Amino acid sequence: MVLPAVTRRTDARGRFREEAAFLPFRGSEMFAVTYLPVATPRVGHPLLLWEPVVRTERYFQELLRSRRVRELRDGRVPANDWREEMAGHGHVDILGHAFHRGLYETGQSRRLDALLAGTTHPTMIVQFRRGRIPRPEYQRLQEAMAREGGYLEIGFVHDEPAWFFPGHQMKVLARLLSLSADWLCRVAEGMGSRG
Amino acid sequence: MADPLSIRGVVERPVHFRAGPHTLFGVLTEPPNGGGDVGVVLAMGGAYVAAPNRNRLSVRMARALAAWGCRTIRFDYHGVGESTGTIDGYWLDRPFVEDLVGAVDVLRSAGVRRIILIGSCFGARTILAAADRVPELAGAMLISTPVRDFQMGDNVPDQYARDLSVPQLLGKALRSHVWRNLFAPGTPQAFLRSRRLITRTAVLKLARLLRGPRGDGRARGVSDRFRAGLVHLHARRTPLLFLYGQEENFYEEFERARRGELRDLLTGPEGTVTVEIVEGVVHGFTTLAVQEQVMARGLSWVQTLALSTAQTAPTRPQKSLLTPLS
Repeated sequence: MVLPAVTRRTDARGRFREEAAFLPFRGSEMFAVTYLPVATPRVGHPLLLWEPVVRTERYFQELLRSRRVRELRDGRVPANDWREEMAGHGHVDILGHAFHRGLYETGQSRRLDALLAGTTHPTMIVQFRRGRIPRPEYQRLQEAMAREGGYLEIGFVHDEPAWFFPGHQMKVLARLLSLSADWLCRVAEGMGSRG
Repeated sequence: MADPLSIRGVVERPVHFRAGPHTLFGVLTEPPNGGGDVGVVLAMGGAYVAAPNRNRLSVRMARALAAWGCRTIRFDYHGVGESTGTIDGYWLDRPFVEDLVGAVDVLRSAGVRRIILIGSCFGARTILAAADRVPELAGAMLISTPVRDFQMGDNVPDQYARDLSVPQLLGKALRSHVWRNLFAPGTPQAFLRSRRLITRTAVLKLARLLRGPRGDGRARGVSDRFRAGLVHLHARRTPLLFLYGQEENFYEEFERARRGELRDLLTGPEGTVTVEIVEGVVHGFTTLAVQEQVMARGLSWVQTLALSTAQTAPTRPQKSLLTPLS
């Protein structure tokens, strides 16, 4: 998902080829690992990621686990093995959402750290969780990017990711939006001062 | 109105329309030839569900209906998705009638003369409350319609508070899995769910005890507003399809009402009320299998209704109600 450009600036040093000098990319969960491999955001443009998936295998396992948990909770007879279901129908039922074979197959082995390695995108991850301790995988990503001269900031909102639970009223929406917008503005100002 | 988009033989337009003080967003789906005089409104459940519904159920249904010649509108309630406004919560006795009537107006302005309303849970209750403002109503499909009134999230607490005595409630609270969820929860969600269930049940039970016995529908377990909507539609002999999942408590309560208080309204000789049951839980459309069943039964019923003898409906002067997208 691409947000409209927050501001348009011209980089005097010609660092950006086009007029839209500030073009942030914002996405949640699978956005980064599906988007970054196929579309190369221009060098240095910010990435704002809400609770991004770091390793797709783990994310897929979580999806499939949630299906099993639901079956157990409802006392239902477990459905067919998910592989059989995917082979037969082309998708698997995850809590009423179709998880398609195409996404599963093309999403294999994607790692956010590998995709961001060596890039210079100012990046912010917003972590949805109680407490202000980064998840280990985000912490490792932050350290890896720092080693390579990149920069990753981690912000926190104290809530569950709303899109996991349709019907969940996000109580911290204002905080999420202000956190995200403030960061984008800071980055934009930083880019402007360099320009 | 924005330029239409042609998708697999049907035409879709994003629309903005007025509903009371709000501007709502919707998608009008039409057959390529413009369609006949039948239009369908898809009304979502509460819980901040946006127009596409879970797994794009409303999108698929709208396109299938358009392929059969029906114009269909799906929309975001105020405070949801692209619409303006905010929502403080959902109460079944405070349905969003203006929102639904606004969507009906869009169909009217598109030339529709017979209207079919399809809604689930909160959307179904909104349909019952709005029916008297839709003289062209040709039928309503009401999915997982609660007969009680409660606030969103209070379904089970409200049911417990109404149906169980204090000793029975204490017995439930002392069960081992409740204590496990409170003091050694497997997940944060389990803890939060149990804590909320206990506190809301206690609050609602206390309120009922302090209030004393009341004779209104809320105390009896059948909403007065539900009954009023049904009385109106019964008098008009509007065809109704009630669809429930066999395992959901809404069905249990509906059946109890059908055998008791609402017997005359729901089992009349005219045969205008159809009740269909599918396996599992329909509410929330939480499995693909349930979605498929709802789609199949809904489409079949609408097709039958649309093909049946055209009812005469009062016509209204057409006017443009659509606000161009800016």
